[in-house]
Amino acid sequence: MAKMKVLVELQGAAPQRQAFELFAAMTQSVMDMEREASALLAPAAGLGVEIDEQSCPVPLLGAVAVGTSVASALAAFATPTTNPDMSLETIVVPCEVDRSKVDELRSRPGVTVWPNSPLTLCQQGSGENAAFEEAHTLDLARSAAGLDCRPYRAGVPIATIRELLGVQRVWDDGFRGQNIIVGVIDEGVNGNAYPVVGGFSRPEAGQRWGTAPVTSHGSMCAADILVAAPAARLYDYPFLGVPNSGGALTMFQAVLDQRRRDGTPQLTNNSYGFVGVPDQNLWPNHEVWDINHPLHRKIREVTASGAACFFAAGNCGQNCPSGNCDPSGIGPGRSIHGSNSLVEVITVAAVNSQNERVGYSSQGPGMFEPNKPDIGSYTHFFGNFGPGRPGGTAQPFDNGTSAATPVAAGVGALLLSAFNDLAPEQLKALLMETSTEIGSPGWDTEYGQGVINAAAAYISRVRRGGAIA
Amino acid sequence: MRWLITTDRSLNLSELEGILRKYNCEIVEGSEPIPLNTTEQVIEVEGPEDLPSLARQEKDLPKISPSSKMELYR
Repeated sequence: MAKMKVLVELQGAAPQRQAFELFAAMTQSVMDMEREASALLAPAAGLGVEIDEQSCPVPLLGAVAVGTSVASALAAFATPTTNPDMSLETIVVPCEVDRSKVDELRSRPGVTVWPNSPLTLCQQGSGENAAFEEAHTLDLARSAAGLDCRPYRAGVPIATIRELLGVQRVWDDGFRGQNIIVGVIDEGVNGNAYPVVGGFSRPEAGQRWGTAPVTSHGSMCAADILVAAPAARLYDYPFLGVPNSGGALTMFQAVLDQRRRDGTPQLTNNSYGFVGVPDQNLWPNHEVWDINHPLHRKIREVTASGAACFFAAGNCGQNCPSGNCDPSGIGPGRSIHGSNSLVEVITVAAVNSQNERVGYSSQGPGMFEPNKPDIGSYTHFFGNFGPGRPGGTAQPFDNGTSAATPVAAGVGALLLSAFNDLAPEQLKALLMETSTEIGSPGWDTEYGQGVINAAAAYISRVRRGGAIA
Repeated sequence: MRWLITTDRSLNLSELEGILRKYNCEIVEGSEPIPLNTTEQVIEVEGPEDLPSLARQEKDLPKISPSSKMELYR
């Protein structure tokens, strides 16, 4: 005979037991559960009712109506103290019973039979469309302070960031970053997980381009570029060992050399910098003080060659600075410096998916160009890191202004795939003019001009008659 | 510590190495001169912390800049 799963609700069962005590006893072992459930099912004797061993009987506390004692007792659960156990009114036992016996079971005194219907996990399939469905969990409730500090809010899926950026509007017109190559100057990108098509490595370097682990910082940047520009390709410029300005200088020269040969990469991502400000009297030629340091000069050459350079603002904001930050480099006016504060580059601050500034995001004014950062962009999402992502859960989610910057660079790549005549200063102006204003009106030291908005930038350029590639 | 030395592009590497030796300084292995413009180049060297003051009068080393360590903004 075909059996069906049902929920059998029993009145007046186990009157001697308290509800939570009974439930606890039954969840501790299957044998105890079966013994208790068999006793509870006495009213169903003789009908071949079998207990569902995968489930557990659940006490119900009775109708919860305003003003009843049960409601008052439950309301007290909101307090941080342990509340007393409660009496149970009925108990529900998941069972299997022959279909032919269901009516007879219903007729037994004190027994109510409920369906126990199968449920379906709301699981997303793979692929872009499924990812977009996930994004509808958007929660844009911004806290009163507009600040996200430790413990940080939870990460969100890439789809949510794409939704916030409005990239679908650009994708709908056929632009997804194709024909654009982004140079990633970092600790190296994994070329198996991400579309690395070239790069530069010093001959003596132990690490060739494209061979970094998928958990590398550079791989995170790669993932984040592809958020907005999934068809973009990458050049990998790995630092050899500890990053220093000499290494960066070499990589920018390699960028310039490549551009000289074929006009690529069209932009670079730079999620690194300094974390302190040395005494100017002792170190007048330090990168944070000398605007004509060779590294800064080389970066100006690269931007002059037509490649936009996206730089992270840094993680030394005053609210929750990174542990790497020296006290000399924390907070407004002290935390955006070196190449990251050059007027020629695009300096990116970090916000979460609710447009709250993450507390470590460095604050302007910049030490070279005062009006820094230029724009805000998104961090704290499952890009390279997170459940099911290439980098796994080595980190809970992509983070830092390090993640926000390649998201912005990806938007830059997206726009350049549509408007390939945009010079770096035009791209920067477009991103700033069309950003979503957060914080104080106009430019401010925390978000710059506002939070990056790909759809707004694209539409603005189209309306102004920008030549589409 | 590491320094970035800006020199005239007409100065060849062996000449530069000779000058650097006077200051207990040497070119970082694998480092090559990087052109800055038609007349200047820059190269990474390893030398003493007081190199700028030691070489202040050295006309072939017109600019000495630190090659400071940086951090990835993770």
